[in-house]
Amino acid sequence: MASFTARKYLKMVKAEFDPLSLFLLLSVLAFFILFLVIPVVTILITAFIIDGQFSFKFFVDVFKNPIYFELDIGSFIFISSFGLVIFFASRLVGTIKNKGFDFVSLLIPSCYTIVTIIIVLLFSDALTSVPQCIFGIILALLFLGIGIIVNKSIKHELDHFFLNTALKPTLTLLVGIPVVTFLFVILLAASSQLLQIYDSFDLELITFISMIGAIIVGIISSFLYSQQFSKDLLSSSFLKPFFWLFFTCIILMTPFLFSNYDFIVEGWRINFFNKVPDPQYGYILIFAGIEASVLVNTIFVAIATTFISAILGIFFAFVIARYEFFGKSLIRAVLLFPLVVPPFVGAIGIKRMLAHPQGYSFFNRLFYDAIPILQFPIILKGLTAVILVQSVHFYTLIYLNSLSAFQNIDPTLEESSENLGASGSKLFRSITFPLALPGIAAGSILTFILSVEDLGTPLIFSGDVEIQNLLTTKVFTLWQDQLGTLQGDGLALAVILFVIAMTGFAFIRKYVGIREYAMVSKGGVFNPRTRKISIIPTLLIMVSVVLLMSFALLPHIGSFFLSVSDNFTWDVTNSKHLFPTSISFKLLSPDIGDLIRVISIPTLWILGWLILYFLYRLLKNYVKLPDPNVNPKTAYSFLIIAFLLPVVISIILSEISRIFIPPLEPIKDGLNLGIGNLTTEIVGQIGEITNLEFLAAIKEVGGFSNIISRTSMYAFIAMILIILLGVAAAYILARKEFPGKFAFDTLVTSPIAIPGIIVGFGLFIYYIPALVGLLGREYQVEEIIPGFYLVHFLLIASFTVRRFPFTVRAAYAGLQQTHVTFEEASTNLGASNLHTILRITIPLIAISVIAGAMISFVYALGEVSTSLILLGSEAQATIPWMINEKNSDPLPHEGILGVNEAAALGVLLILLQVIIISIANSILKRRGSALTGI
Amino acid sequence: MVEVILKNVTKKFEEVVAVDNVSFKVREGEILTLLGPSGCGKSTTLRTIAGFYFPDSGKIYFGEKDITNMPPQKRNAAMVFQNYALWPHMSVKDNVTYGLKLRKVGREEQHRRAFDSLKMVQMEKFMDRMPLKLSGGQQQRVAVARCLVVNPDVLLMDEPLSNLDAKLRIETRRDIRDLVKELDLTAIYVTHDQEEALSISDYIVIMDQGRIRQTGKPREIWEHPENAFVGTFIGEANLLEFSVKSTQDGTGLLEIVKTNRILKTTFIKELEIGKKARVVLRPDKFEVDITEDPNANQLPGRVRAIMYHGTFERLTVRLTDGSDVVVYRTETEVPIKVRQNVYLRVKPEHVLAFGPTAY
Repeated sequence: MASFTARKYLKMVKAEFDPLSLFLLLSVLAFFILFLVIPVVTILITAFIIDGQFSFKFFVDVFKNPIYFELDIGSFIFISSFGLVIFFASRLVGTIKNKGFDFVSLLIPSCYTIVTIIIVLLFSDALTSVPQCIFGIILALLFLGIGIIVNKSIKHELDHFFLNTALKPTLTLLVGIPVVTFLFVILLAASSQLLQIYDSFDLELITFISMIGAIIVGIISSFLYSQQFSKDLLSSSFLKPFFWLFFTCIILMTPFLFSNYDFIVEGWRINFFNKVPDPQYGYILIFAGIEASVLVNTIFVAIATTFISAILGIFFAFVIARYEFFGKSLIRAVLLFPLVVPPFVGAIGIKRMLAHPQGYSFFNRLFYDAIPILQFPIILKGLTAVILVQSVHFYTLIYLNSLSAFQNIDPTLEESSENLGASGSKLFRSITFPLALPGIAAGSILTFILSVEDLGTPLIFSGDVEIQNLLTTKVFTLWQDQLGTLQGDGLALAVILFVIAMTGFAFIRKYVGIREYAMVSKGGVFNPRTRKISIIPTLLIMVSVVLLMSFALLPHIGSFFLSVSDNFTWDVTNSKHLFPTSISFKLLSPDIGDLIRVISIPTLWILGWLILYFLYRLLKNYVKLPDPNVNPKTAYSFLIIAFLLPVVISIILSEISRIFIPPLEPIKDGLNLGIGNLTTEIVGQIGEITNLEFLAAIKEVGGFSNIISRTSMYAFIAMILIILLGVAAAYILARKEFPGKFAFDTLVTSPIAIPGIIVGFGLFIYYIPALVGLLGREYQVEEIIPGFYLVHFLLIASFTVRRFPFTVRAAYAGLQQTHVTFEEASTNLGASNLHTILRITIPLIAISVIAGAMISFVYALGEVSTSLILLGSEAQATIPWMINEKNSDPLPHEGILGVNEAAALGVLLILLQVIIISIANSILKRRGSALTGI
Repeated sequence: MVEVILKNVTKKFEEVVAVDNVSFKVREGEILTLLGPSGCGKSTTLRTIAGFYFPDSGKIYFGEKDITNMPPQKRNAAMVFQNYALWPHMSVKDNVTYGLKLRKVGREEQHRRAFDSLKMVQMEKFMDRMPLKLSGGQQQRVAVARCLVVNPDVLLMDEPLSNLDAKLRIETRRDIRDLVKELDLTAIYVTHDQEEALSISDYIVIMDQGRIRQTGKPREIWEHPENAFVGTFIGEANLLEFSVKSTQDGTGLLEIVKTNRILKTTFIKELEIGKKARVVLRPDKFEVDITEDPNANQLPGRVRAIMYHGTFERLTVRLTDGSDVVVYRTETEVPIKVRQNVYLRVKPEHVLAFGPTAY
């Protein structure tokens, strides 16, 4: 039987593959097996093996250790509601995708709620021990099982019953349950404060009140599922009560914001708003988020980031997709900006703008000192800071995916709905949103994954203890503590990280396969509906967009300030300035030799790209472009804005601060706004070396130009590999049918979700011993050829693997739009397969491949996690590695603080990325979601 | 120019049989058309001949040569694609000379031959244009020139006219036939348009569900369909169900179901007495009588609708058993009104009767 199947399979492969495509397939497979599958699997396996024996010990240890995971009430409620959200999200997307409704999703949520209630009620005190948890889980599964069986038996009636109304209750619950759970926890805290039962407050009370919340949700949901209610209640205004409740709570809670309030339930410290006494200011208000165990913290950050990103992203996408207004192309361009900036560069900026550890942030200087609105300085720290930084970066993923989704909705679908009388929010909820949901969901899940695997951002804030308690940072710290190996807890945590990310990836795969992506991208045949709007709505939109955008750009402005001024740091004595007062434009007139040295390599790359791009622009007239509506204007405006805006803003702000804001007397001891006494300061600065010397900073270290050119070179080598293998993979995927294609597809697109630290660990653990054994011990520390270390080989491999999906997506889309008969016509006239691929296929998809390769290149430049793990010294460093190194260096070098140097490097990185991404984006245009890799 | 022979070619896609035991022969210099409704396997057959698919069983010969498993590059069977597949990144000239370059033809020669073949399709003025700047008809001509220039053994055409408008289609199909005959090429042509097939081919193969239903010259196919499928696929036709009363070498008597009307026929295929038969009646073969004539071959009915078509009137007549029949009436001296009772007279040789095995 087995041999028969194997023979049959071989026969099929033989029929489908000519030698060339078989070679392509095998080379892609070989690369992925060598540099992805083997390293990752090695890690996964090692985590289960102790002394040659299969064992779960590491995992048991992790789950028993309260630092990593603690099953207290807070965590329990939190995880329950999280599970519920995941569950509903998947059902919802599944429902819409299948165009029918799977009734199972009706009773299961009710069961889920009931089970949660029962478990918490019965076992709340005892749930801290493992056997009881297992018992609780078994009970929950039992209930789920009963729910499913009951549903199956009355499936037909239910289906008929709920077919038309099922979407809305699901949506309601999706929003409602987490909101309600969240609300009750907060309400509880607030009321305990209000009623002065702070001391007597106990577990029974919180359980009881949470129960009431959950019961209410349960009752509401069961009502929703009965016909008479579904018809009336689910009409447009149903969601309103939730929002009213939410806002009422916020208003009720405002007084507590300014009272000292720190409230602990079994290790679940809810100190979103924590007012602490401070000798200098009286009080400081600290926003720190929660502080629980590692796993809960990680999931909390990911959910909060996804939620905020989704709100921002969908809002922007809808406005851009549906309205025509003055300045739209400008806004469009700026919206993409955060995409290209690695979050950890932004983190440096936001730390100075909002999250200065001692309170000397830009925000406090402005609203506490200069314009005294605030009663106390506000400090953002801990998880809140990470959430903020991640949100203002990752919203772009949801924005791009939703934008593609909105724009690819056939306008006739909306028109027919309008024709039948739907309008406004009804239209949006019943047609637009459901149709766009797969795109939105994919973007959101990607955000979730990236947030979980993000190492750079938490590292920037790693002074805070809450942040050390995140999965990635924990694993990384363990790695460093164990001197470049990973044992016990670290391994188990890495595997858990991997599992979380891959679960998310499985969801993405389910809803947006590579095939559907191509389908989505065929949007060029109709004009998307856009509406011209009059002046007042335009203004409203502009104001809201600009406000949100300036919020989203805070990190980047901060980074820019830091990179051009050394008196804009978090060094206490230097932090008194509201704006950088000593912006140096030495940047524009540096020593010629340095300038050439520093920017030659990147410039060459960029020039190369530009030449390629313009070559293709020339060919554009007869090359079939992926999208005929290529508009380079956006790209150029984007470019200009990206470079000039921060410069202009900082100049203007500095000038304004000099001219219009009168000198202020120091408000508190030792604090000066920095815009007073300007004359003396300026005079003083002439004497000292306090100017930011952007290039000088680079020169002092000496190695920066090397680092930049090294990073670009390795990213470039990786890009060449990506192009070769990526085109091969895309060709196989687009043109061949074979059993196992889905697995192949999944393999080559999975790197988007596999956490970088795991790829890094895997490569390091698996290959360093092997390669050292092969080449000789000395190469563990010595260069193989000047400037090239052993680890660089792995670095290039990791760049290639990690950034592979972007090019494959783009190339695949290109192939989808190139009819296969072009190739057949060529073979028909006698061309060999290789000749056909070289002369026909590649020229036709080249522009897509180039756009995809640019994206791969850019993201390889900013690759943080594998850089940090693989590289050990400055002689091996890449840009991200150096940024992290400089940022954590507290001592100034020649009067320049590490953080300024880090920011300067960060801005350089941004510079490189912005140019390349803007070109790629102008090529891809409406298929902008390709930038996100899904 | 070679002979093309298919012997028992079968091609499956997973479990679906796309081409089922197909055999036919195209003689040198003949145009053979594969005709059938969409999904009948005609394009698959053509692509198997071109080498884009390999048959699961059966053999294909070009002349004496067995090319069943020969890769498409080596077959020298140039193909005109439905969407023309002109490479958009190459000029008309580059498109046409592509095949010549592969055959290592010298530069001068390339230019001359490209010019000649483009001249044959009146496109020599457009040599330096890009394909996307040409109209559909012009692109189609270039696609033909690209095939002709390499002196193919066989010319394959996969619905080459389906993207053109109706008037251009008629012009172009005449041009194609003239060109193929002038160059004395063996050609295989795929279409779903029966009128196109009748006018362009020397030989027609009618396919349905992967199988050949009839092979023959256009006139044979039209006048002597071998089964009800062919009878109804070619031209507008009425398909009725009669029961068979008696048969007798080449003639038969049919009885309309549930009535006592007897219809004589001299065109019978595999009729069995007492069983049902499918009868194909062409609308232009009827005479419309107002009075009954017991000796004539008549079907009584009542006019339900009359449509005026210029050269003829199109009558819909409901027969006594409830089925509707379409009749073209060219002689309109005697006016006929809706709801009038009429008798449809038809000659026995025009009653095409097919037994259950010839459905």
